[in-house]
Amino acid sequence: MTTPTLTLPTSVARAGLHDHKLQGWNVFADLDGEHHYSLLSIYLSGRKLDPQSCTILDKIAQICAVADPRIWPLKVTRLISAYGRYLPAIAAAQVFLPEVNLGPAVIAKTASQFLQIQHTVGASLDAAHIERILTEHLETRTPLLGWGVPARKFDERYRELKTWYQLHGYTDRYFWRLVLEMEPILLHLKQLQPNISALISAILLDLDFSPDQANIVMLSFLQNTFFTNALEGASQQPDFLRKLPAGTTHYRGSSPKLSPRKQSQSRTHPVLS
Amino acid sequence: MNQSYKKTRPIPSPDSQNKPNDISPLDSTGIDATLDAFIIEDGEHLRLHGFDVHEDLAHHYSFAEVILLTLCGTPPDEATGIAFAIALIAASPVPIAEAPTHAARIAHVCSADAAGIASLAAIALAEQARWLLDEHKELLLWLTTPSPPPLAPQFQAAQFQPENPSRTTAIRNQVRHLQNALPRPFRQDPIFHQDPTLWAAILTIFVRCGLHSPSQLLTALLTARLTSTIAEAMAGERGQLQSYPANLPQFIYKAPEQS
Repeated sequence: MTTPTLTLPTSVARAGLHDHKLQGWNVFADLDGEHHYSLLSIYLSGRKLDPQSCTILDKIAQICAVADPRIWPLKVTRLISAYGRYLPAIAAAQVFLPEVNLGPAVIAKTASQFLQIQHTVGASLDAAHIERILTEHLETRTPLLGWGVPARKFDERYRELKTWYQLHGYTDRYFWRLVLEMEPILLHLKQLQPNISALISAILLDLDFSPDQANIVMLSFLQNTFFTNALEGASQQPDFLRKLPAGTTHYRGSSPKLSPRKQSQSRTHPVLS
Repeated sequence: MNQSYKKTRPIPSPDSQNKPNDISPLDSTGIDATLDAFIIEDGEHLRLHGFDVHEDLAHHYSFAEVILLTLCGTPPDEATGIAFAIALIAASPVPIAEAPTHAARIAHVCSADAAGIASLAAIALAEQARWLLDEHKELLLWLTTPSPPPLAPQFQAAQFQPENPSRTTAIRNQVRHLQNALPRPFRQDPIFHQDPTLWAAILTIFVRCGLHSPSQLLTALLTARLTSTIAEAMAGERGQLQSYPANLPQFIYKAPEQS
C-alpha cells in the first residue's frame, strides 16, 4: 500500500534557514521594530498597522486591564492554578469561552451584528432607519450584544474609551458613528446602556478587522489578565481552592435512598455474579 | 529595595493611594448566592442522586451503569445497563489517525507529562464529540420522530458505495457485531433495518438508554473515548521529535496577495 501524499495550502508561515516567512513578509528583514499589535495584525491578515492604529489598540488594551480574580473566567484560572501550574490554568480558562456571552466571543458576535446593521442601513447612518431596525430587533427578543451593563449604572470602560477616542479625534469612522447613533435610541427604547463590547467591536471593525479577527485581537487584550492570575494562583496554591471547606457549598439534590438492587439484595455485582 | 526596581516602578498617583477600598461592582455580585450541588452529595456518605456510592452502587452496579445513573438520575435496568456498556465499548477506540489522538501524540513527542496529554485529549475529544453530534443532528431528530421516513443517506453504510465498497462492508460488519452483542430489546431497534453507520448505531443506543440532550451525549462520548486516546498517545516514544512525521500533511506555503 502506498502512502498518500497529503498537502494543504497555507499563507500563514514557513520556517526557513536564514529567515522565516510570515504572511508574505520576511520575519527578520521586513518586521524589525514592528509594534506588538502590528505584528498581531500581520499574523492574522498579513496587514501592517500604522502607528495611529497601534496607539488605539494600546489604549483598548489598557482599558481592558481589569484582572479582578472574581471575574468568572479568571476565577477558573485561580481554581486550576491552585494545583501549582500556571500554563494549564491559562489554557483551561480560555477553553470554554467560544460560545459564552462573556469575553472575546462577544466581540465577534457584536461585530457581526454591526455588519448586519451596516448591510441594511448603508453608508447614510440615517437615525430613523437605525431606530426602525433596532425596534424590530428588540421585538424578536434576540439579545442585542454590546448593550446592557450588569451590576452598575454604566460601563466605566465605555466612558473612558469614548472620551479618549473623541479627544484624539478618531470620530469620523463608520462603526464608531453607528454606535453613537445607536446609543440614544437604545437608551430611549429600552433604557439600555452601551457596554465596552459595543465600542471595541466598532473600533476593530473600523480598523478593518473581521469579526473573527476582532475576537482574537480582543483575546490578546485579555491575555495578561489570565497571566497575572495564573501566576499568583500557582504561587499561592491555597488548599481551600483545591477543595472548599465544609459549609461553603449546599447540596440541593435528591435525598438519600436505596437503589432497586440494594433494596432487593437479591443480586450481587453484575461483574462478580 | 533593589535600585532598578525603584527606578522602573512608577509611583501610584495620590488619588489611587487614597482609595484602596474603592467599591467594586463585583462586591455585590452574587452576594446572596451559594455554590450549590445537585447530583453529588459530599460528606461522610458520598452519594450520587441520593444513592450511596460505596455502600450501594459499588456493590450492585457496573461502572457503565453508574455513568448512566449519573447522567440520567435513575439507575438503569439490567438490559439498559448492558446496552450502554456495549455502546461505550463500541465508541471507545480513537485511532491515531483521528485528531484527538494525533494531537495527544504530538504532546507526548514534545515530552509533555501525563496531565498535559490528558488535558489536551479531553479538549480535543470534547471538540470532536461536539462536531460529531452536530453532524448527527438530523439523526437525533429522526430518532424522536414517530413513523420516521427512511434514514438519510449520510447515516447509512451504503453512502460509500460504489467508490469504496470495502468501507461499506467493514461498517456493516462492525454494526452487525454491535447489534449481536446487545440485549434483545436493543438488538431489535428499527435503526438496524436502516443500514446505519457505526456512529448512527452507537448514538441510537445512547439515545435508547435515556441520553437525549447534546450535553448527555457529549459526556458519554468523552467518557468512552478518553482512556484509549491517552493510552495510544503515550504508547509511542516520549520526547522523540524526529520520530514524528512533521510533513503529514505537507503545508505548501503561498504568500497572501495583499503583501
